[in-house]
Amino acid sequence: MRISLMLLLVVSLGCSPASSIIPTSDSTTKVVQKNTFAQGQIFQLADPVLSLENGLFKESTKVTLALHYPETKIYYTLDNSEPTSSSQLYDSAIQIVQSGTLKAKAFHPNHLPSNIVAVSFLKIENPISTKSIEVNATPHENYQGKGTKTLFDQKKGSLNFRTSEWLGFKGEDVEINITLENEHSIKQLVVSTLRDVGSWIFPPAAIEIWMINNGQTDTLIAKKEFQKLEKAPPPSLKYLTLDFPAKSLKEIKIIVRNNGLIPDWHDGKGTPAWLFLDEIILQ
Amino acid sequence: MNRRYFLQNTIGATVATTLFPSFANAAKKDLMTYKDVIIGHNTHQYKIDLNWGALNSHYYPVNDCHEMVQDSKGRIILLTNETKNNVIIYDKSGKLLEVWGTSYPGAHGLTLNVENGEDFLYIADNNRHEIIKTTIDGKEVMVLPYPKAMGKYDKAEQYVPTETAIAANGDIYVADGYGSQYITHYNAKGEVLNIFGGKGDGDEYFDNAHGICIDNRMPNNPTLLITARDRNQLKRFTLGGDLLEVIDLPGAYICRPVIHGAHVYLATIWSGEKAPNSGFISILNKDNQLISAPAGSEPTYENGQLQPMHQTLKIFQHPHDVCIDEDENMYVAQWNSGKTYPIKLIRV
Repeated sequence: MRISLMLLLVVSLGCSPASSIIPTSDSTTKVVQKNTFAQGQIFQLADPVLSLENGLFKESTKVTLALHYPETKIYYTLDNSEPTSSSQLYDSAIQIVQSGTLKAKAFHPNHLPSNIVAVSFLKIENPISTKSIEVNATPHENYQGKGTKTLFDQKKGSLNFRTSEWLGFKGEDVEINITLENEHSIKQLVVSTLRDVGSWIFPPAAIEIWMINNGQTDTLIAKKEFQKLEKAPPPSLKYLTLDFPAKSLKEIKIIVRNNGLIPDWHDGKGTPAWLFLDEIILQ
Repeated sequence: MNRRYFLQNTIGATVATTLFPSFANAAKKDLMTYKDVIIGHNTHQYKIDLNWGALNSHYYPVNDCHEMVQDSKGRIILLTNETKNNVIIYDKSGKLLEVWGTSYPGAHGLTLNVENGEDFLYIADNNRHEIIKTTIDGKEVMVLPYPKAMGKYDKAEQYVPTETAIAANGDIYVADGYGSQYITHYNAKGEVLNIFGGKGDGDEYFDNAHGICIDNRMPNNPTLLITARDRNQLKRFTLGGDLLEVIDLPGAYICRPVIHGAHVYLATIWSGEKAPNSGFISILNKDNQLISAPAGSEPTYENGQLQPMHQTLKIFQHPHDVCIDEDENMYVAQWNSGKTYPIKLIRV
């Protein structure tokens, strides 16, 4: 009781100097001000800071989570379910040995829980060596990464699209022609992208894999279309996978279709969407 | 007298329990349920008044609330890029006193300087590519166009000034934070004396030289503090334009330094990896160490290095400037926050 009484007085006295030094004829202003301090439950915790050692790994990788605010607890899941305060409690770096997605959410007794933050990671089983790569689209001058090899360096970009791990394309479809060292049986294509709608970076509309038949029409092997976004989800690293019956291939064409024009619900409506790619994997 | 000591000494349990026992019981339940948020660390902690300065947006709209200063009469002056009323003047309780200004579409930087006992304002307009000096009631007394003669600029569009700082002798320093990153040094008459900074990789260059101030905490040795916002750095220069030191604030996208007493206060528009709405406030002590980060993570130093900062509570969207009054309370103006009026933080 004593603590609550002191709080009460701090509230009323804490305000009075501000209102009394400049005299005001409106005495009600002071009264109204006494109870206008913001309460804890109207504020939401910020997103926990998620760092992933390497999103593409051969043996294992590590995820750390942080939100340096007293009484905050971070819970996470690895089975794609929404984290709740009965999920796994985070206490130290999480060792990852399998492909998957980690979702985390922070909770606090006096504040609204954070948004969910998520990261996906991919274990590379059998990386296939490529002989030549040709990208038939020009990344924007500000987002050229380390050139074409950025897409095949097995280095995962972070949520910061300004780093050299990302290639950024404005409005264009990206067509990538790949010649493998040897003919190889392939059953999965993974396109690693960034979704950061607040920065006008949208996921692709579709990904396609084609077999190049020299001199003849190329053959579509598989295609996957993605639903257009209807609202802005939080920024996230996305692995888009396309599975298909194993096929022996040597010359391949991959097409990553741009989202097209930014939809009407977004600030950038009607202008070309950005497409950011950091890695293409064939396995 | 320090107000916080005053509170501690005055609030004995005796006062509260003997004078207001029944009121206390009635209030107890509510106080247990509703707890005022206190943000910040160490010596600099605050309660939050979200309603301060809210006006009828039909009559007194704001767009981005870019900067705030306090004048010699104790009034709080807000600069917004809303040309219906670029300058909005409040008292400290948030009551509207006066508005003026309709010709500053890029109103961004606001600096107050007292010259022969009279308050003058320097407005950096990044749409007009000019600095405009006005009286406190809005009469223009000088306009500084882009500094063409120095050979660094071919046209006005390359010059997008974000802030000014005025030295004791009246010299004017302009930071071109959204343009070519030069710091232009004028005398009080507006004649260019020097130009330094610009874009480049070394420590003497800038990446978003967004804010500038005169650091007069050492009275015999005033220097310039200039932010390199995209590098999360605060840089100290001599008044002649030579680099003295670089203060690293990793994860803190600091807008402009504001000196108040022995401390430096900086609205921090983004944190971490620059996600939208991730801002907080940074407060440095006399040794330029981050000691409090309202709405940000607790500052920790390891081997003299500040560990990367991040937002902890979503209180601010994009804090763009702070103003500290003589009660040690803080006013926070925000960019791109949905046209909201400033937030007041009351020191506890």
